[in-house]
Amino acid sequence: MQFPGMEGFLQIDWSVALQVVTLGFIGGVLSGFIGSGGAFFMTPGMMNLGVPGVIAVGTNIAHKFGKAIMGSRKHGEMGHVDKKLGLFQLITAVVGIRLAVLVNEKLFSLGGDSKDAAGSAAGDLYISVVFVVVLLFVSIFILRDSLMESASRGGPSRRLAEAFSRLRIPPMITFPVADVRLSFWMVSLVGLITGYLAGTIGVGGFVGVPAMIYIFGVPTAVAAGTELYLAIFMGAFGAINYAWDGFVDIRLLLLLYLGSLLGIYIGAYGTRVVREKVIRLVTGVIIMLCVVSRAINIPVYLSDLSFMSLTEGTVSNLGLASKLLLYASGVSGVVVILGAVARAWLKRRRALEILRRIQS
Amino acid sequence: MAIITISRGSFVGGHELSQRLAEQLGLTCVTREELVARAVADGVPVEQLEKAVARPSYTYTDMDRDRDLYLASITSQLTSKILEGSVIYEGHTGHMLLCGVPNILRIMVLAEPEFRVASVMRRLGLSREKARAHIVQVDADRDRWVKYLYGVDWRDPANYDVVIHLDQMGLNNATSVLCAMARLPEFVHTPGVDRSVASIHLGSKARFALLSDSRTSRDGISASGDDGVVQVICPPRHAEIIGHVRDVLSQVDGVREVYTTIADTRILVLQETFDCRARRFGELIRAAEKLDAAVELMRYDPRMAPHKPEDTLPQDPELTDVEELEARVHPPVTDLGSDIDSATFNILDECLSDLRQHHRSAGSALFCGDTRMLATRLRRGGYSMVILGDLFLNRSESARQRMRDELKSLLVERTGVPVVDASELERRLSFGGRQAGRLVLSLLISAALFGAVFMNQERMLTFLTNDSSNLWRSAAVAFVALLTPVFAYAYGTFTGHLLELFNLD
Repeated sequence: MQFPGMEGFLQIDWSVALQVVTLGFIGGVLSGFIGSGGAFFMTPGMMNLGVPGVIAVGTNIAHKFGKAIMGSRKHGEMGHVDKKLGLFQLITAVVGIRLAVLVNEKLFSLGGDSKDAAGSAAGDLYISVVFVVVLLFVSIFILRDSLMESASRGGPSRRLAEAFSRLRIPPMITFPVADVRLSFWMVSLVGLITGYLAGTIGVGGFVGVPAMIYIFGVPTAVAAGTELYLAIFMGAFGAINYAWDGFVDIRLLLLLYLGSLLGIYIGAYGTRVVREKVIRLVTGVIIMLCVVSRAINIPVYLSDLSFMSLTEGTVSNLGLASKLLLYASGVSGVVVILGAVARAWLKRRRALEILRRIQS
Repeated sequence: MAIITISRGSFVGGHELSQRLAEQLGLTCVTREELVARAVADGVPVEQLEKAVARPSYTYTDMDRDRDLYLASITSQLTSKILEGSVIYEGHTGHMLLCGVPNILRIMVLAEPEFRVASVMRRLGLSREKARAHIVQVDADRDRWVKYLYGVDWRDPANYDVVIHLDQMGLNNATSVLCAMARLPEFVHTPGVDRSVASIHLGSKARFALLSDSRTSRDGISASGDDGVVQVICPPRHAEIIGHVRDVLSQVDGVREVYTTIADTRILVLQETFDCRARRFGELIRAAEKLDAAVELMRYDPRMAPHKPEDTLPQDPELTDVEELEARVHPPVTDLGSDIDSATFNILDECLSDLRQHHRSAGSALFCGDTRMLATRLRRGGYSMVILGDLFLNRSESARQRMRDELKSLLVERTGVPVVDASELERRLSFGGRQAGRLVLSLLISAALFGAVFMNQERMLTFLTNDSSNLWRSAAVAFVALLTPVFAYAYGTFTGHLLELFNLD
């Protein structure tokens, strides 16, 4: 239900508030566990509640801003942040974000003055398609990575990194913390793509972190820390841009924080007791389910734009199926993580009993 | 006689120098190639590891396990040779394998590029250009390899006692000078050195056995040894292997007792003397339980550091007369066997026993070396926290404080690990009045912001979507840009302290 006189903004009752806090909590647990922003779950989750895509993305990128400040501080204390690399990427990342905001604004304006869900169909369709294409690629990559690892112990193919490492287009810049020497143009290109995706779907780290590891050869911990550092500025710039056009719903933002900042701690604890292979497998499956959930909605947007015709019943069923699948993926992911934490705790207790027996 | 390690660049003549030194000093010469060949025969995937180090990978878990296996294998082989008698080791930064062992003469051998190019052209039959490219490639691979294994720059002269430019000095002169140095009391192979090497040997044998047995081969497993006692640390995610640890280690020569601790992380306590009856020791155990950490006790006595200014040569040494020189220099102070009395070991054992009762022990270690070597050892140790206890006790109060501060800065800078004073431990880890105050304050700020937004939803949305003028828009942007981090910080602080209150952080 829309807020009276404010099209595009939800009327928030207890039920909606609880759903948004739950979205934040699940996103937070997944974020702490996987190490990404959790936007891949929260953005479509808000869209399923009836929030127009552009407001869901705008709110999510503002959410990312605050969260990155907290996360980056911890990484900084551990020396995992290459500020120089982050700032060089930022130069083009802001261009990417601005470009993404302009495209989203343009598509949103196709719906006329109406900011309701039907009016934002063109923007929603575009966001959904980008979401499905990018995250489908990411989830296949992660699943392949974790499943192949069990077959051969050599890790993923390094052909991509080796091919890019030969592209030594000047000027070359040395990044001391990451301990790499890179072409300015390669750094700029990755910054542009990361910024554009962060601005379009609120998910930039899924591309930025693997790019830094695979293409630049940056150590994993430094890649994650640098991405969070970059996320502060990208989040701030994205939030400012979306807020300028009135696309940040501050109420949803606060409700997301209520759940996510608690969930992050639980997810992060999970990484301490669950094996890395399981973490990657769970991540891949959850992202894949989120992709399917979003893909189910694409025919609805096509129908809104009169590219195809669907009955009201079909539209309603597809919406329900998408919502159920999204929640199923998030809830099952959280259950798997909490289950793994509980199993690890029990295993540890049993091991302690064995130890006491052996050592007494 | 001495233990000597030679680190050399490729094609600088290091092999000839080590052969000559071994011959003149009567030492056994051990090369890296011999140790690697034995490691390969024992099933260590050295070639796979070297290829992986050439480019970093997203999935490094197995590589880290293979690295640990490789290091365990070559450390165990090298220490075994040392325990048989004095050796000269020729390889890449071999002294890093013996980190903390006193009296090692660490030599770096260099040569000008032209000298190296000529060597490659002569030995490999390559053209000048190809010889130059070959040297660049080999050096780059070596840099990455040493950095991955030990986290140091092998070219840094601070890691060595002496740097020899062989092309300028010549083989004969270099041999004479190094032979004289090797006979100095500071580099004598003492029983104390043997005890230190034996501990490293036992720990590396135990690690190799655990990592090469399919029942216990997991990432993150570590083991240290001392006087027949092996201490194993197992991360909670691999708790299922606990039952097999003792079986595997019972097959290892020299293992009398095995203790296992399940811990997520390790804390290192660095001090000169330990007392398990002190109040601080109780705080340490509570901190370890709170952080799910195992505690390693490291005795670091700065008096034991081998490079004391007062231990330098007399003013008029006759370098050629080694016997006379040895007689004129006072006896070495760096023999662990004579410097530490049995009471010290007993107290350390009591503390370890206390930690074992709480299932928090990560073993003990004695460290002898300068602070840079200490930082290198700590960086490789994978600690999540270093606690500085009582150090520099023979200094005045002000000098002690200054030296502790300097050590703390150095360790923070070089290890990236949080370094905490023992006196601050309770304040930093316990939930006291300060934390409670922050919890209440952050809750009040969060609730106030939350209430202000939700009690004025309509006004808030009107304000944020008002596009009538750029001034309004700027005000809305400033509001979002300010409210977002303030709320995230306040609420994040609240949740952090709340979990801390229930020991769930």
